[in-house]
Amino acid sequence: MRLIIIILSIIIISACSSTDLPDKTHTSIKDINSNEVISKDIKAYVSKNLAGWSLPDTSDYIKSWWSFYDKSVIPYAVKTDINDDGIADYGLILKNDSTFRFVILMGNKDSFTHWVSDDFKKSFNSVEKKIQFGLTVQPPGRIDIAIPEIKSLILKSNAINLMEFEMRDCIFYWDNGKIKVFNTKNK
Amino acid sequence: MKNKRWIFIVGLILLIYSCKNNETLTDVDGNVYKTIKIGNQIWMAENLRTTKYLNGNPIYQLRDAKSWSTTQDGAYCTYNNDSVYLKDYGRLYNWHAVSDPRGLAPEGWHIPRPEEIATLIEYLKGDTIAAGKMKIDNINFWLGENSSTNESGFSALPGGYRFGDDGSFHTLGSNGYWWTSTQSYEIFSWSARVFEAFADVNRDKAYMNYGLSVRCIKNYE
Repeated sequence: MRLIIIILSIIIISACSSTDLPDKTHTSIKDINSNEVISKDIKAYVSKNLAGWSLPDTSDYIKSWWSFYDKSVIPYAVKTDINDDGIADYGLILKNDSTFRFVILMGNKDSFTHWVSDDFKKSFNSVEKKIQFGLTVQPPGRIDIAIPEIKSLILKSNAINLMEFEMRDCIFYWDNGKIKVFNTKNK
Repeated sequence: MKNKRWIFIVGLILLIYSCKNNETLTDVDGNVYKTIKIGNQIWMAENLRTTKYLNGNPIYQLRDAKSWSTTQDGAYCTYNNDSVYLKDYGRLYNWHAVSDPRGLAPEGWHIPRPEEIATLIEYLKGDTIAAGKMKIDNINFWLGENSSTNESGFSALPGGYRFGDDGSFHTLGSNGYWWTSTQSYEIFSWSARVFEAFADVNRDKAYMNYGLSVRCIKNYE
């Protein structure tokens, strides 16, 4: 009986106190990109439908990339819904032997369709022969730029940024049933 | 003796439950909401659904896109004007409704001020991780992501928003937007960070016609 009273007293004290949270600052932090983005379905789709191309890995990135970013953050894949259909779409950087490219997998009920950027033909870093580009999600809002020209983009839905380190190269966004590219850097 | 022991145990259990924050909130429409204590603040744990101001006056329901984008009156809608979203995501309100002197928040509650959002984020150990502790941990929401913990009990849902310029609806399932007294705070499926000021009525009056979700906070005693 004494034990029961002690246990119940502890429960009462904890129930009556405010909901203090355990400090999990250093664990379970989901950053912009994470390992969850790359599922078996995505790997299988790329393998089957984009012959000769594959997902990079951390060793495909130039060394200085990892001086800026943590290796737990995957820079070559993002997941968001760019066409407001409630189904996840994926932005991917894919590589082959000599170059890499940007692809969007548009999610549908059962699988994906894909869109390949013709504008985005990047070579590997000339010295290290590796990638120095990453992807982030661009939420809705107004984007004003002065280079390469003064112009604005009003994004109503989520979009995908192609980044060279912290410098945005372009935005891939959905507009009237098509994927469009908004350049934010001199080419 | 045995009976006394059971009475004692039952009494203690009842005491435990009375200490838990099982308080609910009822708005002027009779909608009942769960609430949650986070630090020293008590928040609604669901998005607002009322169709009336606190004094009983009706809020305009504007379904038509042009009316939504041009009105200077308080207004509400459901996402895509579809009531199927009402139960989970609540209603979207423009800033005219949020700031109306007749009161949008239930009695004894108010629209949070930006500094109250800052207090909440600070309690959750900073903006870079707070959203992970605020998002509902249900795989049916947030584009199926399952890394959120909802440790805070805030149970944030991605209710999307209604664009002010043309009355179109966007980002349900991916993004959640809520009003403060002057601007928005937002949470995205792809991040554990809490963002702010997507819509800021001090920056641009055009944001007054954006439709965002509302979570109220209890007045301090």
